[in-house]
Amino acid sequence: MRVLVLSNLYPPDVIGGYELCCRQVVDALRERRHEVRVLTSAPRVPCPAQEHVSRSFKLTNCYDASFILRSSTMVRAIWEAESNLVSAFNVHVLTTALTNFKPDVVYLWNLVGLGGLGLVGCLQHVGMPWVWYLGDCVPRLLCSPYDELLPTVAAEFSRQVSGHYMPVSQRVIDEIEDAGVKLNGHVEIMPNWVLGVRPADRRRYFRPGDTLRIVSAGQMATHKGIDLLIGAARLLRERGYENFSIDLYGNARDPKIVPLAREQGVGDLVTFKGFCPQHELVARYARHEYDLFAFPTWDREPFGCAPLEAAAYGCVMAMSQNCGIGEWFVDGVHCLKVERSARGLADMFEQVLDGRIDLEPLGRRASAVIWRDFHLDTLIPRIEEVLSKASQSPPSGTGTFDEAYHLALLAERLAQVTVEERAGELLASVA
Amino acid sequence: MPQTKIAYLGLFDGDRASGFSRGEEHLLALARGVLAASQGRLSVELLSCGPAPECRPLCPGVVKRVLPWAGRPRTPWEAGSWQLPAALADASLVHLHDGFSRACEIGLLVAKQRHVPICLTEYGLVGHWLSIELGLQALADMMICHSQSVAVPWRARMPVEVVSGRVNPHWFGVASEWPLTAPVPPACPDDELPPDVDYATLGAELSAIYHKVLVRHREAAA
Repeated sequence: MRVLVLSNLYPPDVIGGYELCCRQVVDALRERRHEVRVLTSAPRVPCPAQEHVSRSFKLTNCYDASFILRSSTMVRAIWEAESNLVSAFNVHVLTTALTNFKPDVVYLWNLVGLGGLGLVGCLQHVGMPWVWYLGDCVPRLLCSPYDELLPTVAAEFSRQVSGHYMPVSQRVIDEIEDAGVKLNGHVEIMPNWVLGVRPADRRRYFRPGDTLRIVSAGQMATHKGIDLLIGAARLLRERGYENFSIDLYGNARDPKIVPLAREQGVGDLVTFKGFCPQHELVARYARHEYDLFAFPTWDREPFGCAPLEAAAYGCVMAMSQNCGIGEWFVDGVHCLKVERSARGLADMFEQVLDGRIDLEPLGRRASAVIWRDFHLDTLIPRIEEVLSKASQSPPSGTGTFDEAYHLALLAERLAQVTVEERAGELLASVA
Repeated sequence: MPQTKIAYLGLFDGDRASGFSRGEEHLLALARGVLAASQGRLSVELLSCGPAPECRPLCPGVVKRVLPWAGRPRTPWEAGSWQLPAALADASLVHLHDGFSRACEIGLLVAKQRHVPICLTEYGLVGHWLSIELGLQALADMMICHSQSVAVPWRARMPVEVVSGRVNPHWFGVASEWPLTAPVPPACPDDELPPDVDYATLGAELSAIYHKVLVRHREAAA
């Protein structure tokens, strides 16, 4: 198959798991002799050239929070429109790629920052089949510039857009559809995955009396529950426990997070390790440097690759009760699910420290299941099947590339004047 | 027999600018002519966006619908409505009666993206946004002109039909030409001429054009 992959970012330009998963699937498809081209944005840092990767899209500045916060309401509104609704420039890049590469199917990833609705609208208009990997509620985000769902845009999306979706959890589907954005066509839930070779069974698990080595990785922010983890450390110390440590890997996006450990008197137990490349982190799990992966993330976590990677090596997942990855694992069988609070986490850690929860059977079962059912080698044939099915589906439209670009130009200008007027009203109401 | 709904957009904004109802009278007369010729097969909805939403029949088969406008348009021609896409949902064909109003731009975008056929009446105005900046008239499935001289430049690019009657768009009021900074031009000046049209004849011509466009569209989709 000839597969054109669209992604806002592509490694080594990454923010999180979305882009890393994209590269892993691209590499797997190429290994299986598919012709794959990646169309992504000009990188935010210099990147080495790769023959199969074209960095021609323009990414709207939607991830630089500090710069966005310093910008005026009007500038932000125009960025939001270009980021979520439509960028005629990017539609032109897409139609050029469709003309030159002639894909059988387009494989969509995260389209925020690219004027994603315009790209999907273009594919619909010209009848190009697509499959959309949903590692987050991207269609809903695209219909919600200025963090507010536009009902008319959501209704048009629901009316016009139809294709193949691969969300990572039911939670993602619910979050999109509860907002009024319908996913029409074929929807097949597909989990995230691990890579690598299954290691020998882990022999060393935590035993009471040892130091319990807790780890977490990802964005260091309150929505990921890092503040709760620090609070749990404080509670454990208050209860007289000192034989534990918490290592935190990832960039701190919230400046209030890092000082929190010292402020709560657990600066010696909680260590912010900063960003760690994925392969190094996996190597640490493989060396069994940690016993427990804490994942007290928010309810709307779509999946969560980081705990999956850790659990593959017997590092037991302790996650909040309602998060995407929790749909795939059973509490007390493969993982520990805990109330999302500092007290809930502290109570669970305490039970482990006291030996009332044995990590070994949990770690063994989760590891076995992950290597069997959640390895990319297991999932890639299913992904291929969905791509193939989509490529053979009847075309959704018969429009031309020129028309699609013309429509994008019109839509872009209409979006700009609309957001300009909205921002103007907002400014007037504030004044 | 189920009726085929034709949505009319455009020309109403001049009425709002001037306080006259020249656009509405012209479109209503046109719609009556179309209905008479179609022998009940067609219905027409006259759509516009304004501050006072309403929906009322003007005569059997013709409904006037004013959608609530979004925001505060700076000129009457910049009025759009978030409800316009939904209002076009059951239209089988969209006829845009001007190429310079926001409502027509939105109608063009929504209808084209949905693969609903579009007719656009072109009066030969120059210097207006759609034409000078983007050449978007070419997105219409059929261009309708009231004179050969207006039709000639388009013949090589798209299907064009020349219909009877003389219609002067300035009679209804048109938006400022680009790049004039004055947002509202003098609307409906007294020295402009009213349409010189036999609406029964023009209605029959339009009815036949709609039929042709719809048949061609169905064949292309099949």
